[in-house]
Amino acid sequence: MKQSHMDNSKRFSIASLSDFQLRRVVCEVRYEDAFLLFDRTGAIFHSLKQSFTNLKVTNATPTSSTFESKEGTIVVEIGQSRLVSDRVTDFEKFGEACRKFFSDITSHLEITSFTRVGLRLVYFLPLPLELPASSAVGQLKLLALSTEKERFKASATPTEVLMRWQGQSTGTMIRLAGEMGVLDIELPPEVETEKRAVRKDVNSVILDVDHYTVAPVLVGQWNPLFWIPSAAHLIKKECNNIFEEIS
Amino acid sequence: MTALTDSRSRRVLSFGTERATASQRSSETQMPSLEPRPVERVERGQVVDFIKIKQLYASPETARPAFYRALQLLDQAVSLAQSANQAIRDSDVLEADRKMERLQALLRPLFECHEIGEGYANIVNTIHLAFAQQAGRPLNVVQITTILRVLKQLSTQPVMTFESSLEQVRELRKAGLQIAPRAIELLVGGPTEALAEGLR
Repeated sequence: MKQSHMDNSKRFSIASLSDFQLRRVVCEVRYEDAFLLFDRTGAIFHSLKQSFTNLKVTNATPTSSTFESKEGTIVVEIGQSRLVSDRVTDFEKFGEACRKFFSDITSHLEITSFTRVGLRLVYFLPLPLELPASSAVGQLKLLALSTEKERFKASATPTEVLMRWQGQSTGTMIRLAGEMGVLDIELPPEVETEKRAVRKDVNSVILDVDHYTVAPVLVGQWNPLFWIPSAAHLIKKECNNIFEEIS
Repeated sequence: MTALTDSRSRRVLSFGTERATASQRSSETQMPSLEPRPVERVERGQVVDFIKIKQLYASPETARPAFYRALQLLDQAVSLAQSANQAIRDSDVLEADRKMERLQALLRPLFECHEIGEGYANIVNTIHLAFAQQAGRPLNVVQITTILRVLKQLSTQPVMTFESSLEQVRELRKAGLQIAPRAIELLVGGPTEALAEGLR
């Protein structure tokens, strides 16, 4: 852990977004149903093969196809497409991969506008086992509710908080939740390791941020290479403001 | 029949189709519309506004420097073209020419940001060629208005594709702007459709 997460009053707090580790990045566009997908999935795959490393088909149906590559998982559907990556270290590189992907999609499916463009960032903050993640989320002063009494005969503090800010052009949803459990992995006998089973305790706070457009976007307005770093910067700035206010 | 009048485009929109009235058609040929093609669509009889570029890129300074600079320069270029357009409509030809000369000076820095996209580069290059072919002659009202409209379109959709930019290039040519170098026209024996579609 980079920071101590207990303040003077022994209450869990978050200093900034840099306390978290980025787990997943998703860039998704939605559009009016593109029935050309029925004819052009193969052409899309061949175009993508020029830009993506080790591209393989993992699932293909008439209305939805999934491809795996080094750059991430590509999903093309009749009404939406997305690129999902679990190893983003540079938003500009991810933006470049998205630019290639969405450029192929818009030209093959003859899309002229998007009904929604979204960037979802999923962060996690591992906590020591003595501080359960679900109770840590409840200790954040995100709500003005008293945490003295039990609510809904469940718990005194909320274990998950969802907030959404939405205007006429853009919107953002933030979800803070505790992720707890035990991860048990039993290795097959063929794997000749000293340990046959691996057990890992999971105790993390998840921060899931979805930034999206509400107003439709013209293809000629949107370039993910420019938009993704800009949206990621906005997310970072606003999240840091929130953490500063509640600390 | 329900119809929506779109004041910006001066067109009547009805159930996904658009048609111009006879009077509007005649006025369009005399004096071109100031506005770019409307940034909106008609969906189930409702006009839907597309997002504004400044709302889409909330912090463009964090994107590539060229993109941020191009947005700033395009704002300046549109503003100059608007002033020139106003001046020429007020019969102040000298002031209009002065504003367009200042706009011409912005074309080089605008082209330096060509990494934004091929469509962007094609339009900036075409306007640059049009100015060069004028050889100092002042632009007329139709040409100024067309350049204004094209620049507005570009500032709305700066990352348009090369194919989309061809439509803008055709508009510039229709306004009587010579967009291909004279030497090339002489070689091919006059303006051709290929030349009208800009030079990559």
